[in-house]
Amino acid sequence: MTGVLNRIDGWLFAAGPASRVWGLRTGFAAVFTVRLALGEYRGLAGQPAALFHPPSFWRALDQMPSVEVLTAVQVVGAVLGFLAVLSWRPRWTFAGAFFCFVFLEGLVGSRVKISHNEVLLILAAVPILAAPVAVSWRARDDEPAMGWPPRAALTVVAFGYFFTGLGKLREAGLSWATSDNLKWSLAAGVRSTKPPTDAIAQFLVDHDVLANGLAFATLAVELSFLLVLFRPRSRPWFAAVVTSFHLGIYLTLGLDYFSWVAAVIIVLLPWEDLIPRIQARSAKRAMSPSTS
Amino acid sequence: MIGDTRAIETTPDPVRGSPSWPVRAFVYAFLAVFLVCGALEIEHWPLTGFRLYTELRTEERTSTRVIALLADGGSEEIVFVDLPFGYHSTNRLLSDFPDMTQAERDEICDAWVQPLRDDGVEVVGVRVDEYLTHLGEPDRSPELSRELYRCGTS
Repeated sequence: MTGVLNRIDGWLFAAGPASRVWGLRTGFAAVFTVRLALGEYRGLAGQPAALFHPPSFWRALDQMPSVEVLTAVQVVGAVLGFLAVLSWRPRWTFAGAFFCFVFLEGLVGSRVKISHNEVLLILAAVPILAAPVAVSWRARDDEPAMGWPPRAALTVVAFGYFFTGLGKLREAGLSWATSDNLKWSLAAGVRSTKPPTDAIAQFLVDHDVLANGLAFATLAVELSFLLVLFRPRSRPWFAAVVTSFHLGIYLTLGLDYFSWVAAVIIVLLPWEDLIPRIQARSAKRAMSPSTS
Repeated sequence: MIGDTRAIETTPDPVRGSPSWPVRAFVYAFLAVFLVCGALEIEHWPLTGFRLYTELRTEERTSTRVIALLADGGSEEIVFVDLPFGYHSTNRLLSDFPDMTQAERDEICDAWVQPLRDDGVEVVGVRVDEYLTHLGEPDRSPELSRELYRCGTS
C-alpha cells in the first residue's frame, strides 16, 4: 500500500516545466473571460423567489441577486480574467476571475436543474489557484514546484470522463450501448428546436448500426480516458476524439459542452509551445519583402 | 490569432523548490473530495457525480406542458425558453410536485405566469398536462395523456 502511495506521490509531484503552468492559467483565464463577457447572467435577475433552488453553498442566498450585483460580478470577473491572461498579478487576478465565474455559474444552476456544462472547466482549474506563479511561457526546463498543477488538472479531466462513462454502466449497464437508447436520444434531438440541424441526428436514427456503434464508442472513450494519465502520446488523440464528440453532441442535441472541450485542450495539449512558432512565423513575414 | 506576442514575453521565472506541505495537503484534499464525489455520485455543485445521460431512453417519451388559463376562457402554453433566463429549466420543479402542498404548487405556478401578468394578461390559473410522444413515428404528434395538476391563484 505504501509503495502505491509513494508511486502516486512521485508521479503527482514530479518536476515539470513552468511553461505548462503558465499555459494552464492563461488558457483557463481566457475561457473564463470569454464566458463572463458573453454570458447572459443579467437575465437571471428578477426571477421569482419561488423558482430559486440553489445548489450547495448558494443556499446562503434566499433569492437571485439584483441585476446590479450580477452585472458588477460579471464585469469585475471579465476584467480580472483579462488581466490574468496578460499575467498581471496572475495569482490574484486568476483567483478573482475564477470565483466570479463560479458564483455566476452557481446561480445559473439555481434554476432547479444541476448544470454540468461548466463543471469540468471549473474543477480542472482548482489546482491552479494554489499553483506557483509562472509569468512566462519560455521557462521550459523542469522545476520541482511546477509539475503538480498540470498533473492534478489532468487527473480531474481524466477521472471526469471516466466517471461519466462509469455512471452510464452503473445505471443502465451495457444496455446503454446495446439497446436503442442512443437512437431514441437522437430521435428526441430531431424533434427538438435546440440543435442547429436535424439532418445528422436523423441520419443516425435511420441507421441503427451507426447509433449503436456510436454508443459503444462513447462508452469506450469515456472509460479508457484514464490512459491519458500514463500514456502522454495518447493525449492528442483523446483531445481530438472528444472535440469531435462534443461537436457531434451540439449538432445532434444542441447541448453546449464547449467548456469541456476547452478544458481538455488546455490540460491535455501544451498549446503554449505554439507561441514561439507563431512568433517565428510573424517575424519571418515582417522581414520578408512585400510582393504586392 | 496571436500576432504580436511581445506583451506576453517576460523574463523566465526563477527556479523554485519542491512544493510545501500545505500545498501538498491542498492537492491531496481536493483530489480526494473530487474522487469521492465522482465515485459515490455525490452532487455538491460544482463537485459532482458526473451523471450525464445515464438513464435509458425508450421509444415512448412522456413530457409536460404548462398552460396558463386566461380570464377570457382562453389558454396559452408557457414556453420556458421564451421567458427570461432565470425561468429556463424551472419546469423541472414539476418532478417535486407530488411531494408539495397545494400552496407550494400555487406559489410556483403563480411565478411561472408572472411575465404574462406583467404584460397585462389576466391569468386565473395554471394547468399542467402530460403528453406522450412516440419517437419512432416522426409524423405523429404528441398525444395528451392526462391532466396532472391545476394550480395558481387568480
